Amino acid sequence: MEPILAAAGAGHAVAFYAMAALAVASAVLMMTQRNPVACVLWLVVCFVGLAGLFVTLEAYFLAVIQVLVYAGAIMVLFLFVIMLLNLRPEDLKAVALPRIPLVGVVAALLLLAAVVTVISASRPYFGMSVAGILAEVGPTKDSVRDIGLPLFRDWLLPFEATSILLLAAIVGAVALTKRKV
Amino acid sequence: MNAMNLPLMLPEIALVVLGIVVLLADLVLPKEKRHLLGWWVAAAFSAIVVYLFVRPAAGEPEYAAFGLYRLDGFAIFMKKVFGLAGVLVAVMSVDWVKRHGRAAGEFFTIVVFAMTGMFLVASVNDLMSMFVSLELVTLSFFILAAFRVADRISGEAGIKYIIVGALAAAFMLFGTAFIYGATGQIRFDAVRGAIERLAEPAYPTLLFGAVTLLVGLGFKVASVPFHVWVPDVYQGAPTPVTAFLSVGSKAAGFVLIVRMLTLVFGEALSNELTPLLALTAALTLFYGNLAAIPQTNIKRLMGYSSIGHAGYLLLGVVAIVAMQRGGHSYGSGVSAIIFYLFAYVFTNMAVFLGIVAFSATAGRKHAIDDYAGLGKRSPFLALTLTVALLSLAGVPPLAGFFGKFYLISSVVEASAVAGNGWLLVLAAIGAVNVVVSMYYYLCVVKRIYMREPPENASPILLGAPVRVALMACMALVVIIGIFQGPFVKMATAVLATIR
Repeated sequence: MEPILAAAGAGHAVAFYAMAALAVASAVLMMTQRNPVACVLWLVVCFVGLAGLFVTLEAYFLAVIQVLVYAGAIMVLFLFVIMLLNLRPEDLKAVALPRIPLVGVVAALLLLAAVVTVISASRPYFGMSVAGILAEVGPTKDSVRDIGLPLFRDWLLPFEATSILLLAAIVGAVALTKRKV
Repeated sequence: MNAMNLPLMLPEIALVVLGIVVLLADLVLPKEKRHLLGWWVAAAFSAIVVYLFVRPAAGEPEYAAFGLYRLDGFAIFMKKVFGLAGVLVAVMSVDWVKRHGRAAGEFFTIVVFAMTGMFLVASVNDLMSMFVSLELVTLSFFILAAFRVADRISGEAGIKYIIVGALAAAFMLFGTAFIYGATGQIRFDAVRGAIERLAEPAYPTLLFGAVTLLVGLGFKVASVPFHVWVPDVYQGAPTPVTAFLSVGSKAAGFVLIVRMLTLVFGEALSNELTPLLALTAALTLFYGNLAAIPQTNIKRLMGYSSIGHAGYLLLGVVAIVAMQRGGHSYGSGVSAIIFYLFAYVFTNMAVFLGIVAFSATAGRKHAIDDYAGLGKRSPFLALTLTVALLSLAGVPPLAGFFGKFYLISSVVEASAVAGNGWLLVLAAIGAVNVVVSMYYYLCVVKRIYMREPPENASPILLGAPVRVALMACMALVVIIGIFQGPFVKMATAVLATIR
């Protein structure tokens, strides 16, 4: 597929960084909200930002799937579960979590490791434009064909085995919990 | 290898269809007839086993599903064993499901799906399918173990099994990820090829992945120190499920251990894995057999005994890894495991058929003392139980004796081939444990024949199908023991297809 966005030049880079900023900012907001419904809605925004990122990286199919499956179906499921929890306002008060220094140190080290890995892996691309990097990496393999063939032909066996696994889990959950079977 | 080749997977496809048919038939059948679905399942399992017997034997391994499915002699053999065990489980379940009176169709559906998982486990040829198929087996067992939800013990068994099982699954997935990380391959043959060309720095990653994966499989086969779930789950699960679990989970785990060692790791990890597995085998043998001695519940006793038998089977595994060093032929370890699994499945099934038949009349307390005077209450049941228990204990000339004999002698052979004297110690530990295990099995036999039955004891009634199944199991146990020749040949023929 022709890189449509490559021609956009500076606008492309602006769109990329805007979407990245949107995703990160909404992720932070998601974590800092107290009301779980607000958390889920910020998560939806975060996923839309990610979908936008995929578009700027020319992964159009992934972008659509991201919105359809994650922002659509899975988030609705989250909202349902939160509604079923039936939380009262007093459940949402602040809780003083115990502060364990060791846990903080370990978490900080893990974060550091992640950041260092990402920076060192992206070193060859320092100073290049978004369009330049896309040209360097080559076309994104995200067409329906690129994803469908491995999933439904090459790896069909584990895929189908997983569906039997899920069917067994559903049947079992019903058989164990339903009063009258 | 690059074809879907669906006809090869006919047994698995048939099983999936069967599961769905049973699930739907449950909707149309009237409630009081639903337990009869068990006979459908038994008949269908028998048909699949017959098909596996008449289908032309696989010379070279055949592949389906783009190389992710491998059908060789070992796979076909294990499928026959799983299928026959499934027939016996279905036969002994019918009565239990009828008494239980709820969710009959769902029970048999899950049994069929567990069998599908076992069939897939026998044939998988890549890390991903391996994980999913094994989890299909385990998840089905979670459900079956907790099936008597109203009963506290059954619920507890289910919860314990789920928690430990989830931990084991996490270990397996972690190990798989590390093996993939070290080699960059998923399919067994490709992983093997990558291991042979492996750069030195990636070696610890591979070893860590392999050990973690073996820990996950150790949970499934109930080896020490990953055995904690066994006694409670064996006691709490419905007895037919315990029977299924004792052969299904264990055999599936050992099939995968043998597959990983022969198809994937090969010689590469032999040096590190030999002492590790030898230690595990020794601990498992001692723990299982010593902890069985004070038990007063027959299902708990069988749980500890199954840990002990995992120890014996691990002897064969140790023989395989030890002999792989220097590229020696590791055949005797594999064929000993095959022979032992074959003998163990039918012996264990005979014991559980007996326990199910006994508890149907005598109550579900499963105390060993309840078996007092069984020789007078039902001479036939007493005889079959005794033969099966003696075979588990390893009394000649029954099947279990030769199974243990081949396993121990494979370790002795490995010690000579690999020049490792410590393995002789392991073989001696195996022999000592035969004597230990004889004690607690004979204690049950003593109660059956030497004690008087309780005052108001009624005779034990056996249904015709259970009687036939018991007879078939007993005949196999005796015949395998007396004429081992054809069975050893069979194990050797299976072995030839494994590489």
